[in-house]
Amino acid sequence: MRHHAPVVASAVVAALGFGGSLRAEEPAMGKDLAATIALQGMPCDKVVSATRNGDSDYTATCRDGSRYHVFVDSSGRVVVKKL
Amino acid sequence: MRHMAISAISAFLLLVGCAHEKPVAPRPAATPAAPQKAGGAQKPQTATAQAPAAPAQPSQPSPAPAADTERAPSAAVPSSRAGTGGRAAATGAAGATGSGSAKTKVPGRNESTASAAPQPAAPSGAAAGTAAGGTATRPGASPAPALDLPSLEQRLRDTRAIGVFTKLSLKNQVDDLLGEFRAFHRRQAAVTVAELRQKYDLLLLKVLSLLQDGDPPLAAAVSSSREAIWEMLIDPQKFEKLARN
Repeated sequence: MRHHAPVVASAVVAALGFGGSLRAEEPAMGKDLAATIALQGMPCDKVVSATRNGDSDYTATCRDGSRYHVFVDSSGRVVVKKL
Repeated sequence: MRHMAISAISAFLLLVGCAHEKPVAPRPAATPAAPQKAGGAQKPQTATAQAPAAPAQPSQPSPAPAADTERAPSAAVPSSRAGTGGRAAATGAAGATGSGSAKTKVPGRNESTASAAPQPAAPSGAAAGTAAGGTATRPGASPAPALDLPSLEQRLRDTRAIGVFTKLSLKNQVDDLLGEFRAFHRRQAAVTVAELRQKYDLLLLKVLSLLQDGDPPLAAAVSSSREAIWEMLIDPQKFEKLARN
């Protein structure tokens, strides 16, 4: 058990620190992404997870399984692309 | 991760804020709108384009713009100087809504989208103009309070009911709509008044739908400014003043 403890601890830390995913305390970003997707005329009932790809760049997964790439292009426009 | 998220959001806010033109100092309120129009007009200066929400005095329901299919911009528009409410900043939506960003130059005016609308940019106010279905559809309604565009613009930019991405999206849409108005006044496009009105109403609805739950007072302000902002957008002279400002 002692040998496994560091491994388990590392796994937990890795899981918590897994980059870019939305956490439970970031529902606002999920709503923002869902609203943005809807404004572009694409269906997304609710964003269940989102991964931050970079600055102003997210990949959102909707409840129905649809995935969208939401980002701000060089001209400052929000772009939503279905993946 | 959290820090990265915070910095991304800050960058967005900066983007929305920078994109949004600095509101011009409000001039003295314009002469009150014509009797048929409710509400005093306010200088449509800083229409925030983000959300096409510009709180304007609850003007009456002017069905005229919608009925016009010809390019007679000022024909159906009352002479009153109703201020444009919320050129969103939006956009903020985009603040929201209005055409908050510097890019969104509502004809001479800062537009926040707003709701509108808009921040982001809020958007922006100018688009809110004539709310066809707005609250002011009752003829003979008491004059609406003067439209405070800068205030509405700021509210759209600051509202937490709309997220940064959404504000920016609204701002983009308000900017696009303003471009159509510009082309319309310059006779560079074959778009009709009815089509512009439809797009304007649709954008305003988007802003209101985003604000109604999270910021009901702002939604009400945007809704009440619909007609006033429309008047500013569809009248070529008022639109030109907006552009100059």
